[in-house]
Amino acid sequence: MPAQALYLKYRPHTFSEVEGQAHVTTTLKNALALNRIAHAYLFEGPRGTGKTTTARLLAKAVNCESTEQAKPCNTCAVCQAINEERLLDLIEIDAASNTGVDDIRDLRDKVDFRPSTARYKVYIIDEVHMLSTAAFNALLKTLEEPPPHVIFIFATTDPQKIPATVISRVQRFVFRRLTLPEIVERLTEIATKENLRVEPAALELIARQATGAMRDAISLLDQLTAYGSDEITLAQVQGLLGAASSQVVSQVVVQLAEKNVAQGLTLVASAVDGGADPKQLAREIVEYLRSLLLLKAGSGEALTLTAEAQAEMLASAGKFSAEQLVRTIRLFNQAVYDLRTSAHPTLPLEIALVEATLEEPVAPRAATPPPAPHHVAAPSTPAPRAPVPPAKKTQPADAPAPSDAPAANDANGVGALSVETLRENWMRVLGVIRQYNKIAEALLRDAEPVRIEGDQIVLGFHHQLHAERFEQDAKGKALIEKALTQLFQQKCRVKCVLSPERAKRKAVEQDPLIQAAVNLMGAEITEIHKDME
Amino acid sequence: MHALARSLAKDRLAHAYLFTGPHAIGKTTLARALAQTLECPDTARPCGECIACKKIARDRHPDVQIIEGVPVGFKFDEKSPPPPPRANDWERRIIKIDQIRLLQHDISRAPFESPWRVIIVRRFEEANEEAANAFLKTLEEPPAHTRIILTARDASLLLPTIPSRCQVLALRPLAPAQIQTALRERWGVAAETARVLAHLAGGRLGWAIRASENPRLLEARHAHLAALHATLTEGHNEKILRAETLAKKDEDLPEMIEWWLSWWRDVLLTQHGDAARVSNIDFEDTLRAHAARFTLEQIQDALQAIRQTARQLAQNINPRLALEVLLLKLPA
Repeated sequence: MPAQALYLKYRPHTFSEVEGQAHVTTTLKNALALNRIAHAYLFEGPRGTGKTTTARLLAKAVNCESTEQAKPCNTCAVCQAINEERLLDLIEIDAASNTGVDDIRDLRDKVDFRPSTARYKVYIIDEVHMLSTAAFNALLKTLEEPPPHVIFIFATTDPQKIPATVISRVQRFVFRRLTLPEIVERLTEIATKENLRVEPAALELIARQATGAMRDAISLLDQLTAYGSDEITLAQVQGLLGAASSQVVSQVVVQLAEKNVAQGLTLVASAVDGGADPKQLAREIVEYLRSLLLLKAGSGEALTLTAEAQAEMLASAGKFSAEQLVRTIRLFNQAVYDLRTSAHPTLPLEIALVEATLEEPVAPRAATPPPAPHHVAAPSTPAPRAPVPPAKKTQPADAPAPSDAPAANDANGVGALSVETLRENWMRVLGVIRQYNKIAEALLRDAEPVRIEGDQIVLGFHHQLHAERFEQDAKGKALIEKALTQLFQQKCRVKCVLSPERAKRKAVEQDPLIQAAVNLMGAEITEIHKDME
Repeated sequence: MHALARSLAKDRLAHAYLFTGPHAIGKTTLARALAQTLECPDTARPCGECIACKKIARDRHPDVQIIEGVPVGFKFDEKSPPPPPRANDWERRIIKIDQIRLLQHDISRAPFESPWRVIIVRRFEEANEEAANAFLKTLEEPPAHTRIILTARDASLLLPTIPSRCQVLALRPLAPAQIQTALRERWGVAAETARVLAHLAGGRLGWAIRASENPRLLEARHAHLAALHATLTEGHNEKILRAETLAKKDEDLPEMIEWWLSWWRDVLLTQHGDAARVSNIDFEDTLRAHAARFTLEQIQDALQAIRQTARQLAQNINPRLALEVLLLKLPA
């Protein structure tokens, strides 16, 4: 008979064994001690954080016949019956398989019967988010005033799907992701009990891979025990996960910095031949680049690094500009995404590598977004139509494009203000404006700071109409200026123009292919899409 | 694989496995082998000779069920006939909640003739939300006599709570040399064909075997590449006409996209002198010519355009329009 999975074997049997959820277990323990047990609970949180486990513990604790304080005792008849999964009064329902209203009606009919042996009849409804709306509604009355001998415990990973009327009738407990040390601690405990010897570094990699889910971590440990040798080593974990050694990752990043495509491709290929999983490798590269970015931003202490690793990373970080790093991270992130469905196992990774080493897009290829500082400032801003800094040939007379050195901006900036700071804080500016005038704010969502001319901040609009409206409307301009003053303690004037988008449009109109389309077929240019990355 | 073999040796088999990897890399083959190992009464498991092993190899074993998605719009109930076999790797299918419910009902019974009930669910990424959720509890604590094996392209395509309950084994691509040897020695493929197939397979032995048995796969590839090569020298009118012809056979398009991508990847590698990793090795001369003809940026543009088209095609965009745009974007 094959052994039971470790994560089932080591399902906690007491509250103190539930790792990392003290805020939940303490509350529950106190409630038990004071005999203030609610009739309905909702346990929510990510996978593998102890929801079902705690639900079963609670079921055991309320029914435990022991006279002692520490419940559950795990020795009385009821506790043992639950541990052996044969107590009739603990009813565990898989809501994901029994989603319908009829299942709930059936449950409702049986709720009134008194428990057979235990004190309470406990219903654990797992994966409760999958119940249908009708099923939830059918449950409402019972849930609000159940018979005194009934306790409901809901468990779910997806609390958004639960109607507010249900949530307001239950006590809600949020389980959090476990931290790295917590997982390591539990793994060490299990390893000791199982007589396994595991390298600390291996444990840490396992814990890291589990991203806060205890079950994933234990499951991985379980898988590694099958390797059979005396000690579980870091190399074995890497082998199983397809993780490349950190050496390879940092080498690839160095090649990226030095724009050495051929060498980079060879490194990736040999890592993959050596058993690394392309997706895992791409993910590690992203992770490494992220560390570089953090180091560069001066928040390196968030990373727990040894001194030598930090020195090495700082050296690599020096070879990248911040924009480059962000761009590269994007490319590799996309590769991780594409690798999920790509038929060719390494192609997306190779493409990312080549793209990352390419020079920044040059003028004729204005179709791809230039490395505007905007990307650095607000990577999360959902602005796919971000104004493209003017291609040099179309607006030669204008002030330097923002893609030029930031120093140039500082020189002609309004006091301490630069286009970067403005862009970075544009959403905040809008927030201030919103307090005064919602319509103005809505219109201004169409705009973004483009450049600074003397003491004037130039806003680029996507629509001629909006630009004109603000340019001619003294009140509107005053509002923007007021907001800027309020945020930056800096007097400034605002100028509203059509964004460089227009320049691009002109360029498009001159394209022979488009001209032919217009002339031959009477086509009309309605929208200009830039190529998606 | 060593990990699996050792778990077998130590009788430490997990109750649920998830095998991940690209299509035709050997996930189901491995799942069958695992099933055989479980059911085979012989000491040298799996023997491949006994009735149980043979039944499993032919998918006839009463206790080994292989479950697959049904075509979109297929009504599934207990009495429905088995779904037709897949037309190609890109056909869209769904695993429905009724299939999972039936499965749950089945595994509640003891196996008929062997020690285990083995459930193999192929391509679990095709399970719809209800089905995946319905499977969670079963997957975590299945009945004692049950072993569940899921296969999927990638763990991240599944509900995160699914891989969390399984032992995940990611199958890795094989090196071309390994595939070449395997093809020659175990499937008796001619040396030259084996060499080409091994490079084309992208590490997927299953694909290489399929291609060696079914010449249609290679013929299709030739046609797709020929179309690509021809279109690079065409004028606008011919391109538009070609897009129309190509769009008519839209079930072939995903395959065509893959071949086109692999072509440009090879051009890229050739340009960087990395000829060893090229996959289309039977077109070396053309590759070299293209590598000399196009700039790095053009190649990258082409790759990007093709990938974008692939995304568009997956999103129900008119294939003809998408292809017209793609062909016009390809460098001349």
